[in-house]
Amino acid sequence: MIDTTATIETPERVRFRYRLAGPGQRLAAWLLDLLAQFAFGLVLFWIVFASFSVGLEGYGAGVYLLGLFVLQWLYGVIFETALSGRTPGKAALSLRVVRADGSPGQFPDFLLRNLLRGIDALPAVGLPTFGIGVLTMAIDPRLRRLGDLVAGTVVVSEDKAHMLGSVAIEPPVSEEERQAMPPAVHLTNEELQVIEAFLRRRRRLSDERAEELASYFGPLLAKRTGIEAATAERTLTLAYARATGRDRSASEAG
Amino acid sequence: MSLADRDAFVTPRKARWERLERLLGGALRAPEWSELASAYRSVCADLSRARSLGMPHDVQRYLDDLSGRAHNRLYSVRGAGFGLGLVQDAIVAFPREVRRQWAFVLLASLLFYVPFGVGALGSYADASMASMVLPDWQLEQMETMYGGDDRVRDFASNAMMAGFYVQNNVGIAFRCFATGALAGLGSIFFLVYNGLVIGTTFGYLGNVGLGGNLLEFTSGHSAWELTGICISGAAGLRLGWSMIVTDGRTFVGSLRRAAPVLYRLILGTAVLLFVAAAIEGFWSASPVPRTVKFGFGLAQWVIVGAWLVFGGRRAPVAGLR
Repeated sequence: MIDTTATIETPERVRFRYRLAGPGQRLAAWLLDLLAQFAFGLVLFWIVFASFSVGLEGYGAGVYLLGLFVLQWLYGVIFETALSGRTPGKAALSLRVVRADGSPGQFPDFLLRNLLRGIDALPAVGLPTFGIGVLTMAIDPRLRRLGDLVAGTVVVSEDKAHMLGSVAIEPPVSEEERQAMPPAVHLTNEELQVIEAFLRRRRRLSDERAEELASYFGPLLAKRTGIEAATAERTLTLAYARATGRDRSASEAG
Repeated sequence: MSLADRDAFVTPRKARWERLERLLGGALRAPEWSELASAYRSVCADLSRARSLGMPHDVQRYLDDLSGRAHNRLYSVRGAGFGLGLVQDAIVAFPREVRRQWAFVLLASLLFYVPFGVGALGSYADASMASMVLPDWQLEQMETMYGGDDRVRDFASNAMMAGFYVQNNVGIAFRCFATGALAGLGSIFFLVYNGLVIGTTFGYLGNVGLGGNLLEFTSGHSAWELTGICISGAAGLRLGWSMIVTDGRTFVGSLRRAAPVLYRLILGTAVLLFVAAAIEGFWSASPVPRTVKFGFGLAQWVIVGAWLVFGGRRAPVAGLR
């Protein structure tokens, strides 16, 4: 597995892992920001238009040019400083700019990384290719572009991780199945964990996919333990239930 | 790691984690902030415990994520950075940094003013030299611009031009800095190029007898603008230098060492060029007598010079970031 996490130690001496944002996510966020900049540009243009109609074209044009400057150079700086590391595009994709040590970035960091964005976009042949940015991201283990290297920042993904569901033994072990099973099934700790992970994910899998996964291990287990079941999935379920004592229904257990 | 262990770990804590999730979801009032702080600490403890117990991957990852988000929410409250520190960096720390980086500032100034002098003297002596640097239509445009009698603008046009000068000139300076990331080459190019073009403008208009008009127009803002361009170039050279001469550090370490220097220089550059744009927009084309404008311009050079030479000398070091 490619490691796309960065370990960060907080002042509380707790280390946690951040998932780093990949080039794809960052490109998507950048495109969204580009759209937002375009939208702001339209608003500015409307201001000029309105100012022309009331005879204040000089002021309107001044505001327009100033606004263009702000949009072009300071869009990222202002949003990242105000929203602690996020632009609208990054917020939409749950990305955030933080310092490499996990502490929140501040204005100086955001200023540097955004002023150098143009360099990361080079070489430009009509359109930006992001050649330099992609190259430095490929070399750097923390996927940083040049602007990030100078500013000492990383872009992390804050997408929520979900815990797996509970173990699903469905349908519950029937009386006949219990009678047919050998009295004791011995599974190693590792085997138990593999089956458990499978059962926890069961509800999110299609029946065909579940059977496909189960058939890697089911037949082997059937041969070893003597459990006979219609499907490989059921073999795993029964073996797990017997080994953990979950093959008795709730009423009997009580 | 058996089922019982996992459930024994997760079940009693789950409600607390879900509460933290909810806190992270919305806007917080004061009591909720303190609840967030304690929930964050307890989830950090849960994370450490989950690791030492060897809890399954999904539990650890979930807790990693949850504590990470809580951490960012909690610590992002600290000083947003648009405050007093910024003003202090721009006004006090900037001139100190300029003096500390005097070698780069000197080099950038030479890269700008030598081509400036060559362009100015050459075109003044021989107008045909100007057409080697600038296209003829641009030279003609300049002649009309500084030759006419209607050079005084109304206030509304001033506002427009101030906007234009910010957009154009600050943009030039930022580019001059950023291209320093190409091992300094971009900054060198922009310094030389701008020096040559501006020098040629002066020389050519001097040659055709409009030098006085140009000097009158530019005297007010020249101190701020030319100094700004030179220092943005110096910041770019410093950036490029840190890429080439790492001084025993790693490449990234060398860049990081330069970062605070670059920040102060570029912040000050922005101040210089914003002031320049304001003067250029609202003062330079005003109907004030020529002698007053020259006097004002001279005063600006004294002000900028004094700021860079004496600014921040008495500031306590501890108070600076």
